[in-house]
Amino acid sequence: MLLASAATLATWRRAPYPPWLWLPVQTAGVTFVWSGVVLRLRRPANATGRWMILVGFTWYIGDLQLSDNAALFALGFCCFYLSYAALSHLVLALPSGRLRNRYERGVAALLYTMPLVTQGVRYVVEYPPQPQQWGDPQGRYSVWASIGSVFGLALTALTAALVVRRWATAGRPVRRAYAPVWTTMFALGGVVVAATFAALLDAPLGLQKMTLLAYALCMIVTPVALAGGLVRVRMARVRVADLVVRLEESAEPEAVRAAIAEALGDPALELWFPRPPTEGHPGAGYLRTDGAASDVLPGDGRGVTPVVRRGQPLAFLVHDPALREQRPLVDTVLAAAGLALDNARLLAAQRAQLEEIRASRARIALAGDAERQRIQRDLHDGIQHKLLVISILVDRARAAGAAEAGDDGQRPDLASAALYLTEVLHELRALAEGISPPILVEEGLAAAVEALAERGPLPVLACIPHRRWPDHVERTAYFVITEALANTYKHAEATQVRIRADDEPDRLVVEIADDGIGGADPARGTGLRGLEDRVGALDGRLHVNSPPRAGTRLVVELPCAS
Amino acid sequence: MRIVIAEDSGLLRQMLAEILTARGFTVTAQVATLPELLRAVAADPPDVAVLDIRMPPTHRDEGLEGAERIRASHPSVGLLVLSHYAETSYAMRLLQAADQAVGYLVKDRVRDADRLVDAIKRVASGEVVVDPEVVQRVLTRPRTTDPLAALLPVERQILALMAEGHSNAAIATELSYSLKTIEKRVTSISQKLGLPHPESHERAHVNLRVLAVLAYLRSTLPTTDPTG
Repeated sequence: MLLASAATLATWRRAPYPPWLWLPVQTAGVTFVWSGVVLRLRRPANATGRWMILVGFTWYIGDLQLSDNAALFALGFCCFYLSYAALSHLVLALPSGRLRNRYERGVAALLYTMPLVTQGVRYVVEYPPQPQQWGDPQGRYSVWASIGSVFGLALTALTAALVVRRWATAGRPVRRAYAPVWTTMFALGGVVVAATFAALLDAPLGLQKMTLLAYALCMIVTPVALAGGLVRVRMARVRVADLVVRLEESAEPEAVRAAIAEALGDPALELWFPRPPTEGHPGAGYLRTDGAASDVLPGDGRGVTPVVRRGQPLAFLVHDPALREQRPLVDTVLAAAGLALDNARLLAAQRAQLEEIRASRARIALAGDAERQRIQRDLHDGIQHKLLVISILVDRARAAGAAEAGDDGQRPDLASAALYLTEVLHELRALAEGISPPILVEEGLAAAVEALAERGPLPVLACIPHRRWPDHVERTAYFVITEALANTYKHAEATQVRIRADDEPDRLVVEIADDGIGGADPARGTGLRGLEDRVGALDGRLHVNSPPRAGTRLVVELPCAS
Repeated sequence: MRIVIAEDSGLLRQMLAEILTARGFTVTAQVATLPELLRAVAADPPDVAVLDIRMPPTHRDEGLEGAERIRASHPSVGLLVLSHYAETSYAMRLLQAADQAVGYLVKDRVRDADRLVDAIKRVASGEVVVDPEVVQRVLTRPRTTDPLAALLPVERQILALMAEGHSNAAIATELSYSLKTIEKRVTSISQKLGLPHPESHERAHVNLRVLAVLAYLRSTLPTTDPTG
């Protein structure tokens, strides 16, 4: 700052340009130094700041030409283009601040040496030389001035070519991350080329002054834009580093979503995956990390960013529209989350398929229930009634026969028929009750279990709230209870069974416990295995605890959110 | 005696009408659904309505619902509910809706015309009839501590008949004991089981007695609500 002020003050009187042009030109050096210092502090690992400071200080070397001291003048004249060389070096070395290969290093070396050589030759040839200024109108130039300009132009073009090549080979996320840096550089390159052409072709003074002003303004803005862009990328990198650590921890879709949401600073961010076509959903659709499915992505003013991999949409971020302004950050985050996203997508798809299977099992179970109920009703309305009527007719025939032939005229075959009809009626009734107990449908679980208890060979103490649960839940609980009771009656050598259900709003938990010999193996009983399937289809759980000599305790837990 | 029959199986309905007509009853209406039954009763209230527990439209418990509604609108109509399945909870529900002139029979009983006719007559005279199958089931269900063990065999018999809805006089006839003996036994049973003591022999008390006995026999846990 001091240097800049001193240089400006010292040259104020002798400034070759009017103040509106001179002040911007002198300010550029300051912004370079400051930006360089900021960058050194915020990103110590990045060497770019060093070159910025160099550009800033060399910016004022040309001012030495305004000195009366011959040695200082010579220094200022010969090193006039040093800051330009440093600037080109800086541009070449972006974004890391380091040159990557020998071409770049070669070009950088030429950038520093060529102007020194041409200016040195000019100093001798044009002696006493006029102060070297941008767009000096009344210059008496030797041919070396033009040679210098041509070299300068060539080196600028070469630098630009290297930069363009790097831009072209960079991936999209990198391009986006450094977008402000690239834009500034290309703008600067354009102004430099324009200014050089203007000088070379002896353009009108006004135009030359304008290009100089543009150049100066560009030089003021450049370091700020560069430093800003680099610092921002650094901030994004810190978050991305956290993100990578968190993504290591879990491939859970929800955890991946939370990590990305935090990295992007949008807690409401949603992560959707393309839904693989399934039997239930043949069309395209989307799956959210929490398992929700939808045919369309949520719109309502939120931003949607697709993540594309190998030409296929991998995922969709639904986010705060403000994130659109932070494409570099979003791209960096998505690049870091790539593999985790892919895993999360597979996991989500797998879950969706499992859920699909579960729903399908539930549908099969419900369809089975409906079918059982239909069969039971058919038995009741048709066969049971007809058999009853037949048995009445047979009874009547027996009575008629007895009346005709006296008490000794009993027909043994009719008597047997009547007996068998009674048996068949009882068996049919038991069968119909077993298929679908009417009392369960009509009176609920408590009454149905009470009816079971009345018929069993052991004392059954049932404590079930007198309320209704959804049909399929009651039915499943009922079948679990009948199966558990059957197992107890058959194997447990128990003296009593206790059945209790809790009155909870959104689930039904039934516990069936006997005081028998225990040691029941749930893997052995096919009945229980079948029930496990049924309970699983309803997203419920079945636990069997049967330690030897300590009774068997079976707990079934059925969610009943309808 | 005037009867309305509500039964959705046409064959059985016809058979019932035949049996009852042959026994001298007048079948004033034969219907197949609950709405038809309610209309028939409203148009020409019978002495007794014989109704199937399951009827259209929903084939669930229209019979019980019909009984409750008829009792509310026409208290003088006796109600005999027929069911394929002998369920204590149906019987209890029915007895809670109507404490007299009400019966619950398993459908198979229609094979025994005498029994059916007897049940209809008892219902018409205001008694309570509970199917013996229901009573036997609650009587014989396994218990952890069986209070019935304290009863003499004859007392068990009397308890069963009480639960079926018979009056002391009817029980005396059935078992060929004197009324005094039966009354003494009933008092003894009530003491042994802790039932409410039937001070009076009025009909209403007989009916309440059925409910009390059934509720008592049904309860297995001390914590269970005995009327549940």
